[in-house]
Amino acid sequence: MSFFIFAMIAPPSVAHAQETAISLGSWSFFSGSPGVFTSLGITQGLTPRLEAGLSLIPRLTPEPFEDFYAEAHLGYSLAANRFQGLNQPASYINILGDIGIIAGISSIGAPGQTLKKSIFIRLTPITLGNAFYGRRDRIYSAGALFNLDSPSLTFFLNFIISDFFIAKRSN
Amino acid sequence: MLLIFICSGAAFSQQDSSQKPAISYSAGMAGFSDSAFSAAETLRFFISLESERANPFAPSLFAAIQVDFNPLSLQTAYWGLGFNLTLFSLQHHFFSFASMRKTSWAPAFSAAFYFPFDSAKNSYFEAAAEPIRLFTGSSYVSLLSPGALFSKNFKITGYSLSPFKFTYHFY
Repeated sequence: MSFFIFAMIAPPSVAHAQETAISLGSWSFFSGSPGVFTSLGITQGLTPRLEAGLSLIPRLTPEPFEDFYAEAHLGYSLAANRFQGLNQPASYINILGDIGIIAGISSIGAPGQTLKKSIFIRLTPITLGNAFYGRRDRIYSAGALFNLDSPSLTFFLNFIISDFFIAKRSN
Repeated sequence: MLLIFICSGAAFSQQDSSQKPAISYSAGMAGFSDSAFSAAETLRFFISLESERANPFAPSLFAAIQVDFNPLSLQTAYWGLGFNLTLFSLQHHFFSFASMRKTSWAPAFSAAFYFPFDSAKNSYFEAAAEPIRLFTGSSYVSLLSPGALFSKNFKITGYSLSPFKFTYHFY
């Protein structure tokens, strides 16, 4: 847990990579009541292969904000460096593995309101783009959630998560 | 249905040999506030006919299939017919950061009737906006598109939200 906190608050100068991105994506949980969830967050490069991310995941339908989660993760680029400087292209295609925690409240305001905490692993078989190009799409990310409150394993899918990098290359 | 026929007449009445129609296909996700239609996450697949390939304002007609995928159910599938209108197209725009490629911001409006394959369910009408819709030259990306849902006697019953939709031209 402390590593996650460090990863999120450590100033970029501590690490080798400085790129920061705003992330927008979809979350499909294959347990609980169905509906559309979206995620909005940030990712921060830590080293040429390691990154950290934080996002908020509200339910949008059928009852907006009936469930609200937050997640933090560490990701590792499995196929190649994801970052080699803003002016040097890294591999356009990559594979990303994540490990993280997700926590939040479901059925907010209802009698069944519950606090949920899980750890998760996630594999993104295709990432397209990186900070050099200003944008990265994480496509068909599949993951498993291990519920810490009542030990059980469930699955989730992110059809797409797009990362919009804040810094642009100079040329 | 009358709207669709009126639009189709306008779309194809002024064709000449230099204004060839274009066919495109789309895939996207949607959710609904009204669980009478579906509380599930749904996938929508479209095939569209645009009246003019080179004109970003050309209206298009589309046919759609809507399937619940989370949880998966073919019994709650719908088919739909509708039209789509691009409202304007700007090459210099706020959302340019969202794509690695040069894009045009091309918000659109669409209207469609959806009919259930299972006659026990109700048909519905959807009027939707695509405020964040980017044209990349051969494809459109639409993000966070809201819509209003109407019953078959045109009483508003809820809203829809499409986190994303990707459209590609056949060339």
